[in-house]
Amino acid sequence: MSGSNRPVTVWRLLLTLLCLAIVLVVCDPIVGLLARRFYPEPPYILLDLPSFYGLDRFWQMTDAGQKPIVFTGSSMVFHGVSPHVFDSSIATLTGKSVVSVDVGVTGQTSDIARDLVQNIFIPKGASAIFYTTEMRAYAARITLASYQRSPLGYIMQFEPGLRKTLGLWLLQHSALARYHNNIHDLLTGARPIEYGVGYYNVLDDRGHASAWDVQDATLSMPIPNDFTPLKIEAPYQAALTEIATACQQSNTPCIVVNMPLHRTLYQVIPTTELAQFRTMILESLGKGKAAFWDFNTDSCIAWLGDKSFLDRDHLNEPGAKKFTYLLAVLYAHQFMGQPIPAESPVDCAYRSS
Amino acid sequence: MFTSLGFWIFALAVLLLHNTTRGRLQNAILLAASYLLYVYFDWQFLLLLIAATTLTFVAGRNLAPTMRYRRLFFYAGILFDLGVLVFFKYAGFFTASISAALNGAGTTAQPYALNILLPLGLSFYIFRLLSYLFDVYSGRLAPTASWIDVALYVAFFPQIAAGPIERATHFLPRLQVTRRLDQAQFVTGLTYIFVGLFYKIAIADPLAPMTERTFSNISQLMPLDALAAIIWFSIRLYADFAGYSALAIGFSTWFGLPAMENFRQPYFSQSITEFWTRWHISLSTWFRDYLFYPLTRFLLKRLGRRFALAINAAGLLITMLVTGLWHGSSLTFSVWGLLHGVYLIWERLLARPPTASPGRWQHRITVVFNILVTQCLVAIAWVFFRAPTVQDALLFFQKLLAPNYALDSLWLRSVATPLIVLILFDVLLARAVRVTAFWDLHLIWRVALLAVLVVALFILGSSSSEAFVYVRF
Repeated sequence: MSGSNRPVTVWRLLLTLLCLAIVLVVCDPIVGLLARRFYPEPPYILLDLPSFYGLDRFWQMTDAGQKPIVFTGSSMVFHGVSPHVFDSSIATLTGKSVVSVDVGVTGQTSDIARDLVQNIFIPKGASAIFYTTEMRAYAARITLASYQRSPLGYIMQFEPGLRKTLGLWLLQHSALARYHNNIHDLLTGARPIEYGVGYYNVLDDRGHASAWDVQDATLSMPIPNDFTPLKIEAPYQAALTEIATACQQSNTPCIVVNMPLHRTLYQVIPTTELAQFRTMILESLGKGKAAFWDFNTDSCIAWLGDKSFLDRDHLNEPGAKKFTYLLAVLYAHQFMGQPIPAESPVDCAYRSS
Repeated sequence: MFTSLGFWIFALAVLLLHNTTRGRLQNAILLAASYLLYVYFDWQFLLLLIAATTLTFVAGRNLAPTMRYRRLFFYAGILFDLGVLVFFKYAGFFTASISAALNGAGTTAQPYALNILLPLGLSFYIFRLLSYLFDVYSGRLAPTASWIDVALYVAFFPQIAAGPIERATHFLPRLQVTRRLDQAQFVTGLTYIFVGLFYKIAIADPLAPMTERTFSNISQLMPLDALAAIIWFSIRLYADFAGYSALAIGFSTWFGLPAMENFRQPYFSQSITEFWTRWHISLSTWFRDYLFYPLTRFLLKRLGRRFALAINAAGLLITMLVTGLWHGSSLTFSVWGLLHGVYLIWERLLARPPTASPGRWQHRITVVFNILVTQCLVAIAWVFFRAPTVQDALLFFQKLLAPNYALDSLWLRSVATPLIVLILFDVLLARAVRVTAFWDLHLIWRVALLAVLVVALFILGSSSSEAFVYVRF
């Protein structure tokens, strides 16, 4: 170190800040490189670790000039929709090429979906958005606090403007921003580090989690009480309306999909609540803003069969293939003008007009 | 308030206005801005602030040695200022205590309780007013002819909420000249502000939720939770208040009215006596100059030198008790103050003349040992400072000493990281001696150090903004 006795000037301040900016810009990719090489977790930018892969893939696609079709929802979409199957089905059905990606977020509620749709998917140019919803998505869950302390959840709390735009840009491009929570949690002991556990091990390059087995044991467990009694809170219902409005205003085709449940769970939900849920969705979406396809019906669940489910609320890989094909057929019909193949059981689903 | 965007916009606008005017108009602008901010935060007590200022100003005008009733005005001023403090800060406590005592004695009378709001910055501005009266009465300061100057001294917005308790002898003379923000002042102020933000955002605020959670749930604490709670609270309180003080100094510097240093790495103290020369310096020196010295001088004059040790001990105990009471009327603050008083007396009794100089390593080990012992004593006292009641504090120690310690890495990291960050940051500040020494470093070191601090601030910084702890005093 060498000292100097020159008076402190603004020039010295500006020079220091300029050099600081250069150092941070240079060091940031190095941090990313080291983290990818030596750190076991992906960036913790959303509610959970797996959601990073789909979101990052989406950003890569849009940066490469592609306009992907996005599937978003909870862990049900991780398992239940295979973008590769969707793309190949569309190609088979229409002869046209599409590219899709699965941006599921474990425990996602409608407000998180709204944040993603309004601030990332639509501005970045998604060509269509499937929001795979469920009956748990319209009330506060314990995941809300975790979401708000995640970098993306934190940025989403900003008012629209420079700060929010800059935050989102950093989240996409800066390793320090992406690994913020990982480093923070590592240093402060806020949570244990996940050394390759969890289902992000089985995610493919489009964010889809393949699970081949049927976990019969889980079917004898108590019914998850967050499906019934149905709880709908006003801010979460409003979030769905905001999704639909954003889609309409940007001319982005959006489809709200009610995911199918395993027969044993479906049967304990009162039919009045199923009807109430469907009505709520239709009212929230309004006329013509977004399509609504409901696969949580007697005939769709029967068509899928028990062997299509990993557990009560997640499809397994065979189930995902059947279900994704169904989505592709309906999408090709409604948005690409293709006739529905004769053998397709698409009529099992309720579809809004 | 220093961390909000609104405050920054306000402060920069006032700074611009301040820097484009001259002479006494600058003081008037600063006073108007200070009152405006006070109204924003606590509109209902602005009149009280103005009344206390005006009465103290009038008293001060009559304290010149030639004035006939100077002693009367002096005591009237002191009584009024202390009366305001006692009424707002302790009346509720006294009435509640009397009611509790009546109930305890079996009376069925309905307890009469006062629910009095505490005006913002009351303890701090009353002590400024008292400082003014003491200094004028003792002849250290000439009575000020300008009400605006006295009012600005009391209400200067970077310092009113939680100090530092600047002395009138330092502050008022600076109001007599036109102040211009030069480059060195700007950078110095900015450096203090960065230091303050680092203390506050990177160290203090992340610990707030954990500290609040543990101290509001003492009966459920495991021993390691209790240990962590003491460490977290010790770090948080210091970083929060040192951060506030650095921010106050930074903003004050921009207006050409720099405040005194309020902290000098107190957790590096090797004794409680040294601790009180490094912790909340503006308050500890206030009590030293206006209470301890006059009190012990008075007693020595009355009782004679042969009681010097007892007088010294009594002076320490009374001063520390009043220091505790200054923080609040709760019994916990009194116990905290008395505990420090006992520590100080104990140190005086044990004080021995230095022996032959020890070897280098022996010296280092002694230093570390002394620091550890001192900080353990300080931390024990912090439990009384933070616990809701004395019973809760005693229960806290019960929980702490229960034989059930099982270390895990998450616990270790939750405690070690803030501790290490604080120690490293304070080592840097201690080695620098003055904050602006940063700018004397070579560019490479300057940038490297700043990069580490900025990244630490970014990674560890709390996303939620917590209120400054000392504002509630």
